Amino acid sequence: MKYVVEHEGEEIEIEVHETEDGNYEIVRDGHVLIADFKKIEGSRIYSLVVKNRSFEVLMRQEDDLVDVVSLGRGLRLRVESERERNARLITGAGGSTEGEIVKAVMPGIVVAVNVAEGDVVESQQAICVLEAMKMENEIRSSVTGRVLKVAVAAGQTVNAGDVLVEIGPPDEAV
Amino acid sequence: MFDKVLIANRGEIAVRVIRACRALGMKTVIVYSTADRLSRAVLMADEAYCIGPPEARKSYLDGKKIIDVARRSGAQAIHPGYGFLSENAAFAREVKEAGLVFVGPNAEAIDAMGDKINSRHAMEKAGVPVIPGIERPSFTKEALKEAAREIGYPVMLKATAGGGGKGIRIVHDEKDLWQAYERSVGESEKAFGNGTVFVEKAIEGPHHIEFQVFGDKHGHYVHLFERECSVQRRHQKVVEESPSPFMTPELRAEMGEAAVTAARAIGYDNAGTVEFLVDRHRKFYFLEVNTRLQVEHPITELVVGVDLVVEQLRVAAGEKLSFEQEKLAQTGHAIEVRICAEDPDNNYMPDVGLIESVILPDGPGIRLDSAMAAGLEVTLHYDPMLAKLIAWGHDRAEAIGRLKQALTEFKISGLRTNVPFLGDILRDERFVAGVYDTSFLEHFEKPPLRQDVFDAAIIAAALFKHVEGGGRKLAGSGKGGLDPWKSFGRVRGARRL
Repeated sequence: MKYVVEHEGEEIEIEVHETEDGNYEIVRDGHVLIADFKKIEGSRIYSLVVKNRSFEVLMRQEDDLVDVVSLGRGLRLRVESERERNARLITGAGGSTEGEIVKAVMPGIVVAVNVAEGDVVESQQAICVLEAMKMENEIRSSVTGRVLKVAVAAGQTVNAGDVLVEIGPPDEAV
Repeated sequence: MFDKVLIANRGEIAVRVIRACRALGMKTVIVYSTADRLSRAVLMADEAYCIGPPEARKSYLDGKKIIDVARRSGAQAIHPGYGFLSENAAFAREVKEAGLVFVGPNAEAIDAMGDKINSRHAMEKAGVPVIPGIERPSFTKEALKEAAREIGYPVMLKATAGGGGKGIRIVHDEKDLWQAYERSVGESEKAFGNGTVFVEKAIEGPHHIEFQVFGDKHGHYVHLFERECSVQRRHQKVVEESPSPFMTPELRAEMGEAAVTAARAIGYDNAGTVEFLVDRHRKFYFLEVNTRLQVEHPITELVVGVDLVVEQLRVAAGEKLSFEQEKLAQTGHAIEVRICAEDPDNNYMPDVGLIESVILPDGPGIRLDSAMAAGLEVTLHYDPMLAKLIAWGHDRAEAIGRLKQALTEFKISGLRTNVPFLGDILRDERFVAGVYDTSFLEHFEKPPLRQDVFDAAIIAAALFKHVEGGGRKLAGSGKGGLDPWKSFGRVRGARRL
């Protein structure tokens, strides 16, 4: 199986083949390595031994990103199989055609609302600011679309689960 | 001394206070919100009383409920920890009126230091240096020039009603003064509806250095030296150390005396912290007094060889201070890092979820103040700090080495934490050299990654994907249906106030 690991824009292709003795053959830039990779059950810790070098690796996945911590250093990587990568490139980069109902995930106070009904918002655009836990949290849209409804106003107290803003597909008539 | 003490807090500090009480043979009573039912403090305490829902306002901040529990349980004293009710003078009074002991300073001392302007005046009167400033309803051009000259350039123009950086201007030269003032007034009017602007000395290259003080009910006051707390992100401390690498013996003596003067001036009678700003020329200015036990108290304990919580309990019970100034000394070096469930690469956005497993660091000179355990759910209701990791060494280099090693060993499964980020700070050249001020994290860049570590990470990531498959939910907590934590991932740009 082929995988593409992306780090800060750099893409690295890694080929993984399972060997008969339960290890893995790793091919990178034409070089072949044997890797012994085992999980510590009940944790997110893996042991990687390559050429007798031992790495204790803590991993955590969130969506398509993987946080890797090894020897005290942290790295955030995007990992895709070649198939997933091709599929993503064909269908267009992560574009969602559905809308989103943005809800408060914690109780707090709406400090500011940055959009109005009918506005077109881009993915990752700030929609409103929610103050909770001594913090101001900028709430962003995860989709590109049109604002169908703004359910809150600045100064309002909200509970977890309350709808803040409804976003529809970009082409939907309002 | 007390037979039974109620702890009105949660998390690592509740555990810390329980430990101190137990060491003195006292029984402990914990109050908790429903979110903390399975917390370490509830499991450890002798008695546990649920006092309400997760919202602090209805539980940890509800003084009446807490005092009621103290009465019902027969506790004689209440230790407030830090945060919550610890600096609430009204609560301290209510505790006293209920015939109980508040483990902290008297309510008048809390009141005296609760207000920034009052405390500044009190300190000025006592002869403790404050940041020079001049305040008038409005300035004429000439009066402003005169004020700035008197204070000395560079000066800061600050909105009296201020906040959020609005209306603030730094002026290095008289020729820019009037224009900056007019702009500052305009901005303040717009932002706060109040155009009052005052002139204050600009502190260049500021260090945040604080002194631990202690007073008792018999008129004794001591200081337990300094803590350097300049590694901050948005006014939240991240790394603290003692002694300060910026300190000189002369400055320490001077600041220590000022700290004791401050404590004496307000009749302070428990553990407290006098915070100072120190400029690059080593001139120091009073900032405020924290009338409680400080998060970073362990570094003082390790360097001075005292138990501050035990001393708090003794002094609250009416005993005399067990230490004398002349006998107190700093031995070696201690550094503390605050372990938080947060993402330093994404504006320190807090993370939540289940701690699946933990591998705790250990070894010579390592101390961990924590309430963390496998199976603990970290929620959004409270501060994201999980633990404090502290290292002591004979000198600073040994302390850094030990702390770096301990951070490498520390593995928390299930949550995103700042553990690798803290290690990166300890690897930073400026930190290692001990030359940093409060702007340190603004200019912070991760030290370069070793090639072999990078290569291993890439291979591990590909193998992880291969073994665990494409399942996006692989790393999830296994909860079905609505996953609020996932949608919380959309919240971006968290900003600490």
